[in-house]
Amino acid sequence: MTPFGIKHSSQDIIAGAIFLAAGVVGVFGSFSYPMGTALQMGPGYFPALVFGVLAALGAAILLKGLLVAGPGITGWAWRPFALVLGGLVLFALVAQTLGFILSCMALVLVATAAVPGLSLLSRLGLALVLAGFCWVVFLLGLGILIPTWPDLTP
Amino acid sequence: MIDLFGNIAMGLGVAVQPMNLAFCFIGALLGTLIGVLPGVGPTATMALLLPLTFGLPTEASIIMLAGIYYGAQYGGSTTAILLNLPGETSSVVTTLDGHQMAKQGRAGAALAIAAIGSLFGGSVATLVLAAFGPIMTRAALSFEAADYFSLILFGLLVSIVLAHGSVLKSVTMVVAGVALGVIGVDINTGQFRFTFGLMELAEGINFVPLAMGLFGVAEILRNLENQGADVGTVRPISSLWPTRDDMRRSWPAILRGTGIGSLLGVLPGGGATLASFASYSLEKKVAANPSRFGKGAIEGVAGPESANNAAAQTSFVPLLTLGLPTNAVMALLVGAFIIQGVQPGPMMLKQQPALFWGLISSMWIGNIMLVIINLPLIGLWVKLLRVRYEYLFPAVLLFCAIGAYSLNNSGFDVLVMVAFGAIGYLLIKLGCEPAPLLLGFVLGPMLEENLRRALMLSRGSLLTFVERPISLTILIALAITLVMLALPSLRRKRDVAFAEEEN
Repeated sequence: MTPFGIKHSSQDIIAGAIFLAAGVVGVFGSFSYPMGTALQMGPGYFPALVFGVLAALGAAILLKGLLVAGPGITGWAWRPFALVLGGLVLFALVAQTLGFILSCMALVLVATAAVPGLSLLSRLGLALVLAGFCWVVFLLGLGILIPTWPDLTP
Repeated sequence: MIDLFGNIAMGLGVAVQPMNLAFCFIGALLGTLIGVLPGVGPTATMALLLPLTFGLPTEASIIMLAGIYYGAQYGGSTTAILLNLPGETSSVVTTLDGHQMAKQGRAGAALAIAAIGSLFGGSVATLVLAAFGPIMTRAALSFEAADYFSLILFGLLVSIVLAHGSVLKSVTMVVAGVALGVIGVDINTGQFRFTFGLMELAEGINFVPLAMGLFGVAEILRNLENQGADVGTVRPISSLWPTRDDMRRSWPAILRGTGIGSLLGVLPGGGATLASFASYSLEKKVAANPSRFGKGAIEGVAGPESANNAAAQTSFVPLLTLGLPTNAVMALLVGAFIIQGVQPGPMMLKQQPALFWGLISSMWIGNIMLVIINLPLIGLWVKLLRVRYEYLFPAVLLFCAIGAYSLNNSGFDVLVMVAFGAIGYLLIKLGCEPAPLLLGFVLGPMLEENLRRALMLSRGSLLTFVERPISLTILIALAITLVMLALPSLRRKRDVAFAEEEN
């Protein structure tokens, strides 16, 4: 027998803690809405029930993680995580002002920075090709309402 | 029976309209493409293409999305046989004997048998769907709110039993999905729930960016972790024709696989993966000489390939007749139906007979198209595998971003997608499968609505769920399933089954 605390699974501990926390917060949130009765349920009744179950399940996973050996968390790829998601956020923010072509290129350029060993030139080329392709498909073909170029008139 | 043929004839009339035929082809082609490319799954692709279908007529968009689904089941087997790379989880089993056959220079026979088996399984299962659809629909019309509540609960919980991974975590994912589903305006009272003052959340979290984030973006992040994974080489394919001996061995396996697949496809959470695995173990059991399996036994290709295609077809039964999606792909189709203003369920057959029968008939046509697309083009599919992931993923990312943006022409949905991309990646890292979450998210609002309506009808008495015979039957079935799950012997079997599948 290994002493308490050595046999554990960091995967389960973190997952359990997250679900437990979300459940508890959710139950409190639900009680800010009218509860009603089983006959005439208010808007808070069902959410309180669901978040309560979520909290209980989270607690169970947490407990299991503390007592039973299991896998830990491995290989979180921070670089792709930051660059891919950052590129998408950038796209969301600049699409209307910078226009379709430039925002698409910005997304591809930022996201491909996550791949080591891809030269700037090939990334630029890829960005240009993909932006052009998407312009044909989405703007010409499907008529999406994003301006092609930034509006330069003052 | 005469009804059945009349209906199928009407469906064929819809399905062969040039536009629907074209979109059926596009769907089957795209599906094959996705099936071939590892790391791009059908759920992600369908989420990706949902915004593109907004402008299409209802029939065309649903026919195309369905084509992607069964096309992917099929395409996955090509790479499984040739490269030992299952493009989809449902073709994992095919690698066992299919790739061995390829190594012995019999890839052509394996591919041909996979094609024949898939076509047969798909066609028979489509007939099953056509025959049982109307019967199930009639039964469903006598369902009341309490029955629906029990049925949805059954669907959600049983899907977990049959699905992959830790049961505890899967249940939690379903509940988390239901919890996400309560965000937005409460339909009965107009109260804003958990919207944090964001008007964009009034109608709830949009389904499309949620699915794109959880499946598309999170998959990309996972794939970017291990770069430089090498794609194997392909031996030249000699003859496409199976020998007479191959055919003799394959026919019974195809029949058995079709039966198993048709049956398991209907079950919640069943679907293609489970069917192909079950078929493989059955073939191994009935074989005169089980030791041949794993060394290139053609039955090990014929059975599972028929089963996964059959199951892909019959998993439409609960969706079309009860309005209940049983897996993540079907949940996406619910989204597509609702976007088109059609509520899937028992009323669909009456209100949209052309859509119902057109979809079913298009599956037949689609299955034939698959054979035509696949066999002559195998060389092309293999070349496609050489596309490097660093060129592929920016394109997928771009499609996701533009698709999400175009939903409401605002960056908000892109940001929702980013959030769920991050959540999806975290869930993968925590060993939680995101598919049950999507199912919970789609079914959650239905669960709440039926619970409230049932309790209103019964004047607040919980006994209504055990007093109504339909509901009681479903709950007893649910209880039996849960008890069986708790039995240690069955749990071991399930764990062994999935462990074998992973290897």
